[in-house]
Amino acid sequence: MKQRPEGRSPGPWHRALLVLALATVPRRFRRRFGSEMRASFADGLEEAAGGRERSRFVWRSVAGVVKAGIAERIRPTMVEENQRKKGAGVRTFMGALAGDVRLALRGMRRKPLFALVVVLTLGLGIGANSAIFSVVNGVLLSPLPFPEADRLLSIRSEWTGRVAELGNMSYLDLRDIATEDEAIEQIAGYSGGSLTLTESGDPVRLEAGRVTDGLLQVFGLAPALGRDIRADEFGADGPRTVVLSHGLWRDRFGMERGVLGRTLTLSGNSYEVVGVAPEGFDFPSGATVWIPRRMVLDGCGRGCHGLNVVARLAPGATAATARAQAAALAARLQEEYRDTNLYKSFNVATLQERMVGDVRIGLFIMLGAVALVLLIACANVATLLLVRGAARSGDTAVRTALGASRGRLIGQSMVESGVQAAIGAAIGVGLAWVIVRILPALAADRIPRIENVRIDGPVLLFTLGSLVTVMLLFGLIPAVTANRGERVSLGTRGEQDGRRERGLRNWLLGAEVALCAVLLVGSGLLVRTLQELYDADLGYETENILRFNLSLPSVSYPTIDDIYAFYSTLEDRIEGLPGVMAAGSAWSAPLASGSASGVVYVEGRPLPTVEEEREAYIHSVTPGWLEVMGIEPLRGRGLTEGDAFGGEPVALINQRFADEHFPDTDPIGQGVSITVDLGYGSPYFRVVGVIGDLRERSLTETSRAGVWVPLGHFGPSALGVSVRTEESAPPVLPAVRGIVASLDPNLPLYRVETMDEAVFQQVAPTRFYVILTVAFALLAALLAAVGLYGVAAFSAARRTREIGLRVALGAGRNGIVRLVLGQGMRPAFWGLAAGLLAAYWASDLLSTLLYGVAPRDPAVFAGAAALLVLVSATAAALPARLASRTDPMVALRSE
Amino acid sequence: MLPQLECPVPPTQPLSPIDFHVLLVLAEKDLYGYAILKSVIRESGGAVEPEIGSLYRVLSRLMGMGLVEEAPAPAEGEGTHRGRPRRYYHLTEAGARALEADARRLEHALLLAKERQIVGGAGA
Repeated sequence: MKQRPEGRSPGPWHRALLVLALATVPRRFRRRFGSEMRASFADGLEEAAGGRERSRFVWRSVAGVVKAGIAERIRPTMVEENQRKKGAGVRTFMGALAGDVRLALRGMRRKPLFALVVVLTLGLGIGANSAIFSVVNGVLLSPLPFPEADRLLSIRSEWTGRVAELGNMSYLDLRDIATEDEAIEQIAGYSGGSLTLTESGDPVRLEAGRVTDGLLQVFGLAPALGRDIRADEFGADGPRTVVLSHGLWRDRFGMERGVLGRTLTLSGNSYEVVGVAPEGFDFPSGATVWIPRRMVLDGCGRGCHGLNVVARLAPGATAATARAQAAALAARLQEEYRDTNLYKSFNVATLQERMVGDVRIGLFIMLGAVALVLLIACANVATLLLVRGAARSGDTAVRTALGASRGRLIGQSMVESGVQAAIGAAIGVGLAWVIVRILPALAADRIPRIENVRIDGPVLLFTLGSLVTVMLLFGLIPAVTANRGERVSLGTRGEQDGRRERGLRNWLLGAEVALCAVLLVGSGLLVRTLQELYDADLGYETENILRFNLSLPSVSYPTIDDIYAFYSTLEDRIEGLPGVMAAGSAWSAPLASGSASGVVYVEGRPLPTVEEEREAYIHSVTPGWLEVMGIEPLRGRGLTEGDAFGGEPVALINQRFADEHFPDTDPIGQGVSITVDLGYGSPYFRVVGVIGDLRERSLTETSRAGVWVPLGHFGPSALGVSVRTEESAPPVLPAVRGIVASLDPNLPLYRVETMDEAVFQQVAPTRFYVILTVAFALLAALLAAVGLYGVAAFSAARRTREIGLRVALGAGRNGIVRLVLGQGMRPAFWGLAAGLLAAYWASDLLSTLLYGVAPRDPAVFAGAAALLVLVSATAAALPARLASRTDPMVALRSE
Repeated sequence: MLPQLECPVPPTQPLSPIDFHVLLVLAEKDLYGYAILKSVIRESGGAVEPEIGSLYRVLSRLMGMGLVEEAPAPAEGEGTHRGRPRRYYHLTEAGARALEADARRLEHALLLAKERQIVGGAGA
């Protein structure tokens, strides 16, 4: 191969390529190593033998230099000449950072009001976000307090294709799932209820779990003492055993181990204590004793749906596999047991989903809303910083002239925002801490797991995330634009701030107003919902009504006659109290627990086929109860004392029932029966009256078909007693307690509440959302107003000379006001328009939280718009007024 | 058999191959950039083949870490070559220590590899 002549220099195009490549290298690096790199390039070129090797060398070197240039910009290896010691780079950086922090703090001290507005804005935004995230985290995200809680399932029976709902499961279906669904390791059924503990002292009402065996095992727990309920203990004649909660064992039995084997009297029956649950075990929520569920296994069989079901996934199985297997099983049971299972399917969900499913959407919407507030806060601060940045452009120019690099200025600006955001975040965490303490009261027990909400690691991490987001969002914009200060010459004080800055400012303001409009519309819709809930026609009275539950032990009150006699006497005695207008008792009362439903038969009509079956709910009431609740018959008559016993059983039906079964005939006089065993089968009740539809389970549900029969024909021993008073109901409570105690000293009153409280509980979630969104919307409006005011005031101040000139040339005050107001409000109008459009599009997201108001309710949109126009006009009017008073001489002299 | 199985070197961050070879080259004598480049390629058997850009970034970094420093030209007239500047680089004491530590680490690894007959010449 031909040897190249010695000393051959690289050709001009090689040199040009290298020079181009070197342009990518940071200047400092190039200054230090550039000539050496060129020399090495020349050396290599000289040595390269042959054209192919030569061009390979050239391209490789050029690409390498470009790569190194880029790498050096991202991760510089260069350090200051005089600090080439290990760690010097970090020290320089820390030193510069400390300097920047000091500078930022000094700047904040120099303009304390400005700094306060910025820091408070961020603090409110970050604090609200952290607080709501703590709710989302505590309620939705954090695992349930059980070992491997993600393996816990809740399984329900559901009717597919039928109107009536089910929910609970029959024991036989449960057993089939236990044996056939391989994805399930352990399964247990339970139902709630309460028992009266009569030991020494006052009787105590205890929340109880009536369980099958294996409940603790499902939760992966073992008893703290003794054992759990055994499989052979349920069934109608099983031994009566009880497992105590750790709390009850501690408080009532001093944690004595000797409690095992003791006998407790619960609702008149003797139960042997066989175990103590582990500390903290609280399932079903509030339960302090667990007893075997006493059920008649060969009674109604698969038709008796009395059990809630929890299960534990087998290792490695997923909820999806459990669901698939349960679906296959349900399909088989539908074929095998057509009478009871034809439309039955199993709904498998994780326990956590089931517990918090109702509030999931609401809470995520709240998180979205509060994120908007943070965005507004960021936009606001960015706007204010832009305004100040423009005002400081002279300062920036000086620093540029003194040799501060572009990167240095951006860095300084970022540090400044970082310091402000950090102080804001600290305020925010404090604020969140306070909010988290108030929230449970707002939620009124209607948000599950709300007690689990706290400021903990994940929440602080979220706050840190918000802090970084905030820094990037509001810090970067002024940082980038501040840099343009370089172009502002030192001599003039840029009277007309840059068009781009002004454009950006207006964009930010518009965005703020738009986001604010979305929040205002959302909160407006929720406020209207709350109003509709309070105004809803429930079909019964709620004012001045006190109610409580009593549970008569079957040992002392064995027959329906005993039960009826007790409640009848009690009502008479209570009605004798001064200030009491009426008293009555009911089983399955509105907004209370307890209900039974069955298939409806109409006398004289053929029995319905499975496809034709319609369900109705049965209630048992005394005549006094209808009086207390203010329920008047629409047709026919109400119930009387005489209906209780003897003669033909009578019933009231509601309008829905009448519509479903007697659309063309008069229901009065018809015989109807519900397939609920009343102790003597399911007799035909003669319909004597029709009442209106009642909102029974919630304020929003559409009514269900129902039948009201007199106590005496059908009456569980646990009834709710309602008392209507002339004035506020609670003062009569002690007297009522006295009467109950005089009739039976072993009967505690439980679930004591006024109807207004019951309604309050119902509206609590909506109220919770309303309070939050209204707070967010007001905060957003305030922030937007601050932003609009700040910019309008700044613009007016900047245009003092121009305004002075206009006044000098004869412009009227109104003209000036219009000018400043118009300019100040223009971004608000654009923002409002965009915000209303966005709200129009997004309001559907809220629809699950709404009631009685359309997601695009024009009144709400108009109200939000009017409020925002008012707010922005007020914010811009103040500077406009000030501007209109400009003294032309002073203004013209000022420059 | 090896007398010990623990690594005899205090655990420090191992050097990257290119760092290692640059230090190794400079351990012999002070060299200028292109000479370092060539020696590294030769001594690594072509396994480490830096191009100019990465070589100077490595030098810059090693200087920043205090492992390499700039040195006067070893002889009169070698400061330039055909009118092109030539800067020589020298291994500092810290650099020598870092090189030794990494070499011991490699030695230990090599002995283990031999013992396990991954490479020939097991020192049993």
